[in-house]
Amino acid sequence: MSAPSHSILIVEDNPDDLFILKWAFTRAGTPNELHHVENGQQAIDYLAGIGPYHDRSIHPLPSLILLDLKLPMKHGLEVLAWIRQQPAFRGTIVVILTSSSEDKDVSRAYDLGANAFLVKPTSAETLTEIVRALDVFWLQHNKYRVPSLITLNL
Amino acid sequence: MACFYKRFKLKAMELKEMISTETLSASELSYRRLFEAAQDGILILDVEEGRVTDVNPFLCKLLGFSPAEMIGRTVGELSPFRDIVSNQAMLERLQEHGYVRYEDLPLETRDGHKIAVEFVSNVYQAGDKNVIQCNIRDISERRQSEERLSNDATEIRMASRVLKTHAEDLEQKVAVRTLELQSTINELEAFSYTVSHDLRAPLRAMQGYTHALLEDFADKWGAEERDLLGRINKAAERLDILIQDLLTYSKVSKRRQPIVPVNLDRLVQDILTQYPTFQDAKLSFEVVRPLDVVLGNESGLTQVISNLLTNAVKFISPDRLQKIKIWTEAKEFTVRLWIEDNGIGIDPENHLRIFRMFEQVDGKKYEGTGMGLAIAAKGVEGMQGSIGLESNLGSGTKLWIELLKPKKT
Repeated sequence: MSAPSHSILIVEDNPDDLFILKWAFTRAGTPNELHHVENGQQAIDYLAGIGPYHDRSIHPLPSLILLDLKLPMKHGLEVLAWIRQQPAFRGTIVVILTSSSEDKDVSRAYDLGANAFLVKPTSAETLTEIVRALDVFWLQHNKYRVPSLITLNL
Repeated sequence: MACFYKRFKLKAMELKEMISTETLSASELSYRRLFEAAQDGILILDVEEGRVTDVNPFLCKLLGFSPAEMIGRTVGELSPFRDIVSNQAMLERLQEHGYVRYEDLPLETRDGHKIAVEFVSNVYQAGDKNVIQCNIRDISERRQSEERLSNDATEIRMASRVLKTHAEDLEQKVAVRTLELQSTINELEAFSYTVSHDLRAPLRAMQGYTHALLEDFADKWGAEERDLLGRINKAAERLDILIQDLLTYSKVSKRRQPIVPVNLDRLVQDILTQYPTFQDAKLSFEVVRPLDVVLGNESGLTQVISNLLTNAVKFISPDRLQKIKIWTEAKEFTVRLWIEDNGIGIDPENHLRIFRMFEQVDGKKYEGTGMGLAIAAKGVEGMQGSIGLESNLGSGTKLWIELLKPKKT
């Protein structure tokens, strides 16, 4: 498929989950460029282009963010709230990918403007299906707003 | 004529005197009777020195003295009154006010008894001279009952104070317990959050890595290695299901949603058509429609009924068609939903066990964690309903849940 390559930012502190997620992307064969941060603060720094993330050629703004909730430094919901406060990122697809299926978390996430809420499956096969579906729906069929057209207002 | 008149007058005067003397002696007599029979003590004193001139039998008996021992003495000289009534003071007050009253005099009788009396003295005219009459009333009993009353009142006051203290104590204890309970609930919530997050993560890792091993190095494994890796995978899967069931159970336990009318007819239809488990050629469902409307909440009932149906299709004999019949039975205030299967049945001695956590009567022969019916029971309980079954080994199972019927509109 000649679909454009989109970059995806993975916010995940668990190295096992990260390994399997990357493995699933490889298995799914999606052309996405994967970037990774380990905690909530790094996620904000990455998106704001602060410190080690200032070079956009190495750390491009993502089209889609896969956001875990239970994160060190800053909780995923705080990161989500911050993202939605930035006019530049209002169109950025944020998909929650977490272990929690707590109703409380689900409704908070949607209140704060999450695009989707996914519970991490135990099966690596299911995860492969999920990342393939994410790419197909959100990054290929979905009409997508390019973040670089809007100035960052930090 | 004049003489006659004079004599007549004289006679008349005599007559008058006679009548007055007779009248007087009649009143004297009745006074005397009163004096003798009175149930109060009476002392008569002369007004000049306050010496006893007469004493009635009641007072003699009360104080334990004979009239002879009292007559001629002043009140102050009588031993029961000594140190209490000053003769002089009493006489002065009598002269000034015409009467003296002591409301509550403590006396001691001759034999040492303590009594209390009310002592009232009046001066009045008796014939041509003034006398003092003292009325002495024994008020010991009244005193005692007053004391008892006041003691009772004190006791009641103390008891009510104690009661109030207990009530306050209890209130405080309830407040403390409520706080403790709330913190336990919070802890449990935090615990289930931790369970869902942290306990499942290593399982994902186990499954993920075995999966990666199997796929990425497929050409390196023989049948035996594949089998072993598959077993690791299966074990992790099973543990994950257990954890998820536990989470569901704890969620159902704490979920308290308002109960509203729920259309079972539609709900059961949705479950039967949407759950993949029930799309099996070896299953045959018979729903006696329409099913009644019950009070509950939709998500809770979906959980409960799908669990019951899963249970009904799980324990089947492998060689025959599993038939499940579903119907409702309306009672006066409730509706009972029946789910009957023709499966292996349950021995009556195990009927209670099956609603407990992790119970599966038939050991490991059938899949699942043994949580399904426990979750259903908890869910029904949360909707003010009940759950039960009729079954015998080898003759199928009739599970039922009973829920409140909506009021007719």
